[in-house]
Amino acid sequence: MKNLKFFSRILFVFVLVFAFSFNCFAYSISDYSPVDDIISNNASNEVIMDIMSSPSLLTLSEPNYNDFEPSALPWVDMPSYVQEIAYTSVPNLYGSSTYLSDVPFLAVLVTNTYIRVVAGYNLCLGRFYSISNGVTTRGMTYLCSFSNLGSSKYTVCYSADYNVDLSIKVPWHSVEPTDYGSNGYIKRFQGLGLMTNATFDLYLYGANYGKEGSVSQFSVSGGDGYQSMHVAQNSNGFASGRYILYPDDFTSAYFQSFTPKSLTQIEAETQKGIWDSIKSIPDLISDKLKGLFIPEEGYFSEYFNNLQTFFSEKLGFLVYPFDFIITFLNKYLNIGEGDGTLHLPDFEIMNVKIFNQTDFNLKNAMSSFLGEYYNIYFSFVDFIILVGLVNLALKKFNSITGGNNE
Amino acid sequence: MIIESILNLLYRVITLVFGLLPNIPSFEGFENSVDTVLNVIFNNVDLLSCFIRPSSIKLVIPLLIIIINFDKIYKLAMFIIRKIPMLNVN
Repeated sequence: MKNLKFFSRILFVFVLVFAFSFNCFAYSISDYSPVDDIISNNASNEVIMDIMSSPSLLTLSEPNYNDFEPSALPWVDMPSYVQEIAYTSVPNLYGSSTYLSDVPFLAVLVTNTYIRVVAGYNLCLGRFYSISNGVTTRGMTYLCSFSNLGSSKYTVCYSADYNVDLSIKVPWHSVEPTDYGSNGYIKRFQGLGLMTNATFDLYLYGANYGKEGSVSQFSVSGGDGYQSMHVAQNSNGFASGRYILYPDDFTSAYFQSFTPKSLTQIEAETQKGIWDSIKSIPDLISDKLKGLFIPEEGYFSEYFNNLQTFFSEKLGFLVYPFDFIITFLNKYLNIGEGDGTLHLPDFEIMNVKIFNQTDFNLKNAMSSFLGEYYNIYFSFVDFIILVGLVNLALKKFNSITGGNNE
Repeated sequence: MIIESILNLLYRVITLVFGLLPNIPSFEGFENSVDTVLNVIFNNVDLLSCFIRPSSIKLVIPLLIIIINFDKIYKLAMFIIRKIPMLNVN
């Protein structure tokens, strides 16, 4: 019996000590917050996934040709270097998967006929000019409405073995009115963003392109192959340069020209990518080793939170005194410069409401009453406290040394 | 991964061992009441800041505790010092 009592006491003490030490530790790391990931990449990926998975974004509605009058729009001569690229470089792009990024700009990539348009998931190997009913031309510039493809879902590719499941976002009829100015537009342009490995010189026209507020800044950052883009307007009322634009009324906006990357540039980037991959091998190894010994971010926080929850449920009121002490200390340490508001929350005892919440800003009242003297008052209080502390310290010293304070 | 495995194992052991014990009830009503009082106090430190700078409060209270208990600190220090024979302090 005596031994039983002894062991029960030991067990009780052990539980108390364990709970206390655990609580201390758990609280000490409870403020641990892993560094937030830069979300831009994730955000971009998220949007792209949305594009790829959302049926609404993969659906093109029929264009309203009443709203689209190319002949009535102002035209700008394509820069000579664009023509040159169109005639010489573009055929070389044929079959190069690197140029996947350029494909959706079928709407503007025109003069050479090696690009193919695929309806649905079936290859439609007709060359670009073979769907001439869907192509409007003027000089070096072509506009394609894709209205005769017989499907609301398009896949674009420019080689038979490269079938890209990606909708063409033909601006003047792929944008729903409800998307105007909303994330829907950004998503749609993220769709275009998939092809932004190329540098674009976009000339944009639209009934509302000149309106103030009809052009917004648009930027895509983060993942590889994405460029930050912005929108601007020149004094002639149309946007030009390296832009993406979304006017209020997209029914009469389109891209007129673009400049793809040169093959040399792409090759250089590919080589650079290979070299970067080789260089990253040591980092990968060290990351793996690190992962072997160092837990993931947030692991400890979650771990001790789980333990804390477990012990709170298990040990009930035994844990509460430690919770109380630690909460008290935390609150004490987090005391900040308040605004002097008397804040009385709803006060309840045993589910009985004593009074309702009340606020009164006393500090403002005192500050306006005392003016500059308020700061002097604070300094005076500090001085009084200091004197009191020194006095107390002297007395204490005397009591310890028996009055001999020399 | 290694540390995670060890900690996970430890967690399982702890939950297993303590899982054998019955759940001790918590005094939820009492705890809520104390928390409410605590919240009332600390939420109204703002009010105290009308009269004393909060930074002064944060500084003074630990100092006060140290000064008041300085005799105990002194005794503890002397106890340790006396244990060092080289110092020869009686």
